[in-house]
Amino acid sequence: MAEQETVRSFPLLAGARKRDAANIGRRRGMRLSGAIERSIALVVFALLWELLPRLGIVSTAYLSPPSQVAVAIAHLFDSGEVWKHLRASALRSISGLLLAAAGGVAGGFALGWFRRAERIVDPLYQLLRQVSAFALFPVFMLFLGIGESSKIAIIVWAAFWPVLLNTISGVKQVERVFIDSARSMGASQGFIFVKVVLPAALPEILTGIRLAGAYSITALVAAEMIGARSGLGFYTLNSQETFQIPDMYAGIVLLALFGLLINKSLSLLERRLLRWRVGLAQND
Amino acid sequence: MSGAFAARDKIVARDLSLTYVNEATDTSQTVLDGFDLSVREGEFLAVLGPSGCGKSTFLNLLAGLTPPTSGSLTVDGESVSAARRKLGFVFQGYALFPWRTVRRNVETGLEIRGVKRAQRRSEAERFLRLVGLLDFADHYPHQLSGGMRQRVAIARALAYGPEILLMDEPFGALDAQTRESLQQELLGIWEQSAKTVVFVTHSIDEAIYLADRIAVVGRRPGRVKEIIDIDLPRPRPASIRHDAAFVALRQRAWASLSSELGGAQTAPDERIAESLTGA
Repeated sequence: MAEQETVRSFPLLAGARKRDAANIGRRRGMRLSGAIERSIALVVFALLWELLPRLGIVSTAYLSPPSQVAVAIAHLFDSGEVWKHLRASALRSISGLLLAAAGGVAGGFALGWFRRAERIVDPLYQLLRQVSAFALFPVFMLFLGIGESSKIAIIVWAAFWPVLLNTISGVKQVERVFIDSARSMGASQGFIFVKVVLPAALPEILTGIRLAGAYSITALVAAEMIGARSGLGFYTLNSQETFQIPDMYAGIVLLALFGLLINKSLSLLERRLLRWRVGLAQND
Repeated sequence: MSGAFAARDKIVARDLSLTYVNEATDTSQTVLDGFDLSVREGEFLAVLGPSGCGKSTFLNLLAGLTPPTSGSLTVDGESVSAARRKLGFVFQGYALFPWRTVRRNVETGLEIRGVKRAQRRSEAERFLRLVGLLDFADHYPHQLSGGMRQRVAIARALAYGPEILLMDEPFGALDAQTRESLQQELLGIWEQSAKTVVFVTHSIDEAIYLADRIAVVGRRPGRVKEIIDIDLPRPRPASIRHDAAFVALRQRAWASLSSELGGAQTAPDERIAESLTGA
């Protein structure tokens, strides 16, 4: 009876734990060599980058060596100027991303749930999502002026689509039996949306949001290169226009690091929210 | 009719029918037709029939998950939608929420009813203790075996105190040993609870072992063919399966089902015959 079954299932769990422990031991040894392995490409890249201008193969007027770029970055931090640009860029990309995520999840929920609505709207959004955010920039400027709103609009447009499409697909794929079981317990439609469909679709939604994070950085740079007075994108273009080539590369490197930070934060959020999937086959 | 004491009818189905219309192919399929059944208050009723006879569909109608095409279905004289909160449903595929721990799964029905967190917690623990899984309260369903998951599902269906328990082949996916131990546990829980149970199965042995009465359902269209009273004494030990009375009931149920299969227009399906004899 109860004992029997527990006895049979316990070794299963205990065995898994033992295996985990062994894996951790092995993993520790591998982590060091893994770190070396992962840095090889970066080191070679930095060396090549340093040597090409230093050896005169590429003119320093076009390519600054990373040592000079590092100095430029340090200078940016010293003078405190970096914060002004970083703040502007962060404000634009994060507010754009949040708006896109909210709109994409809400729209995706509606379209994923009401199949009829999705069938009707599908041709329209298949067309719209092909319209490049950059192509729309003149339109946004026309309607919203050259201020912050048009820059945020371009980011929202770029980041909205992956969230919308992933949410629709996530909501559509929620297993019927989860909804049925909530309904059999007397759940209201609101409970089913928030406590069943949302968590069930969350893995796909978060994948969409992570994609949106990457798109939002691309759109941010473009937006800041057109009529902005601050931001890392502006700083990069402005440095080129004033022939501060190391500063230009400093801007590019900071943009890459900023993108990496956004991506890491979103993965972290994903891992935190999807903790329940640890140990599930598809996540192993 | 054994009716020594006249229990009140809890669930009444009259002339129920359900027809699915496939718009794409313009065809329709009648799953249930002229389905009549009364379930008495507090009884354990097994609904027995071959695969595809519509017995699970009946549960879905009862739980208000699918509306019937015609006929009437009442619980305590009320419509199914009004009675929804009196039901607990145990699905064959467990249907536990993978993103919730065992504890939070069991709390779900209480949460829907707006029960406060602390009380939710203690109620959930009470039912987890009942099914012997209190130690696994903070595990996720995928960390448990099939038998343990189905225990959690039973605890979840019981935790908010429904008057009626609907079970759709709940032990169908389990190995024979686990299945027998869960059958026994279920009887133990039911005997103390005075709940009405409607238990769908395709196993003759399971139906006889558990139920007060068996409703034998025939195929195409699905309707109740015969009611068999199971007057075996309770509590029933596992060994009751070897008693002469049990064997006689098994033969009777088998005759009822096989005549249904033999009498059908289609040739008897060997696969169904096998599934019916297997315990």
